[in-house]
Amino acid sequence: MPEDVVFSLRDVYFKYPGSDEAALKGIDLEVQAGEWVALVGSNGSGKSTLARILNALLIPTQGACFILDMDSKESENIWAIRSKVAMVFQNPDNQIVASVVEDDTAFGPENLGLCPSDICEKVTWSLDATGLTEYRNKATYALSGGQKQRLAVAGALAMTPPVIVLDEPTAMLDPQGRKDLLNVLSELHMQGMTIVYISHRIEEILSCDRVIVMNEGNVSWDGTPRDLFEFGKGIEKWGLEVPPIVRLWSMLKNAGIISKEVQPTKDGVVHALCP
Amino acid sequence: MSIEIHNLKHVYHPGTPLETIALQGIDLSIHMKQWLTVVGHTGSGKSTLAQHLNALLFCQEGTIKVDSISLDPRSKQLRTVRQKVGLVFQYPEQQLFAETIYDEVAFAPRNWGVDPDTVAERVENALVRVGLNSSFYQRSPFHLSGGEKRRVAIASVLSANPDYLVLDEPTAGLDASGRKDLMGLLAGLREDGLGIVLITHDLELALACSEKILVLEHGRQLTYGTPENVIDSLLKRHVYGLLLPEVVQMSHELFLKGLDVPITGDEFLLAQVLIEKVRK
Repeated sequence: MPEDVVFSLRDVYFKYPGSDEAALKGIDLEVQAGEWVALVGSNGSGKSTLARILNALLIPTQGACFILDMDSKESENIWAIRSKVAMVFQNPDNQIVASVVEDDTAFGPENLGLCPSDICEKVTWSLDATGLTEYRNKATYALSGGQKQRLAVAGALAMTPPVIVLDEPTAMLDPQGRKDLLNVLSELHMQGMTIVYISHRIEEILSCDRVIVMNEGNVSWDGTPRDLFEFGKGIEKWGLEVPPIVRLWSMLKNAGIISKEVQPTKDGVVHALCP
Repeated sequence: MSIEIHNLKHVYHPGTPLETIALQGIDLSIHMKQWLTVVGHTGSGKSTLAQHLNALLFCQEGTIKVDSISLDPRSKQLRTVRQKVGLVFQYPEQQLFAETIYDEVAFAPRNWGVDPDTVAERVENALVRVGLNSSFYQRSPFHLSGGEKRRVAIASVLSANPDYLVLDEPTAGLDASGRKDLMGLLAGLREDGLGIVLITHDLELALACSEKILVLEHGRQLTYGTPENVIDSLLKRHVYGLLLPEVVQMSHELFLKGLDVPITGDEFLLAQVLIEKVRK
């Protein structure tokens, strides 16, 4: 397998104990180093299960998952995998371990055995990147839901992992917080980090390189965000919603008011109408 | 019949190094059969406000009255207030605990000492209102989808027969169809006469469904008015953490560039106007 493949999944099935139906049904997938991949799909489509497979929290019940060329089935690989693939979960309360914001952020790098000055530098950077600098010495329990979510992201970033998997990291963020987080990820992506980003919000995936649509445990579609929007209302069959701005873009495009080349964004359409 | 809030202030950990002013100078009223949405950045005080509405927190300055009952820690009517104002927390499905959906929904009325026949009636009624039929009664709440779990959580608040329903970020983590269903459910409850207080980050949602919107910024009341008032005020002044929906921003930009378009969040209306204008 070439070195630049981060995830390689072959016919991966996963079934939760006691459940009749498999949550993942034969996933074949490759993600290259440096890619920013969005995983989208309705509730129960298997996105979160797949995310856990990617960090060896779950091991496929059938098929194989290679992470940076390491087979996740081999127990001796687990720690090496998890030190390379950071994970941010949906619910921030489940992943905050310390009582003070800076201690919580330092938990990951401390466990990697870094020296104190490096840890301090990484903590400062990741708190700044997530807009939490002013909360550095605050108690974690006193944070709001959205601030806790930022802290969960800060904790993962502080490990400066080559790969990060984020499971709906913006569910509780306000729109500005969402935009800020996407900007941080976009910067990290430019620096070469591989990002797997799970979301319901289709408007958040515009800056990704690639979108994977999950439906009932399968990959239903794989391509660029722009190509996904060409489906128009067709994406509703996967439980996805066309963002209002994209609906507007496609109405204007179909009426011949703007050309096909115009990007499905606010700035794209405004520029096309009033250059 | 209304919840009246006057000059509410709440400070966490007063007199300690952790002192934080969560809310101050809040004035508002919520009537039955009305839909109020509270929006604001993370940490703006939205959840703190929600917890004041059913006496989980008490104001340190100012007053809150629920149907003329003053909310005071010494009041003997707090039970009544907590029955009148149902609070659905963030991620309510994490509070599910009973073995069956029936027991989950029956928990509140049983706890209030309601007689078994009335409990049965209320459970049935609450589950019908959230769109779950009797085939769900004996199922485990833990084997439901995310959207269904949230419905059960709402039903278990409705079974206490509240007059007002306060929901803290009820759409977080729900997919598009789950969000749509939930909004339809809340609109139905309002039609039935409940006062709805929705707490969210989602201005798009707020503008689409509310009669009144309260915008909080760093614990202060920035705007309180109709969706149109709120669009006006947010176009004049950027509010920390909040962004107007892209369609509203776009109609405003086009308007400033000299196109005579309405400032609206309705993409169909905007598209129609633009198509007519360009064709002319």
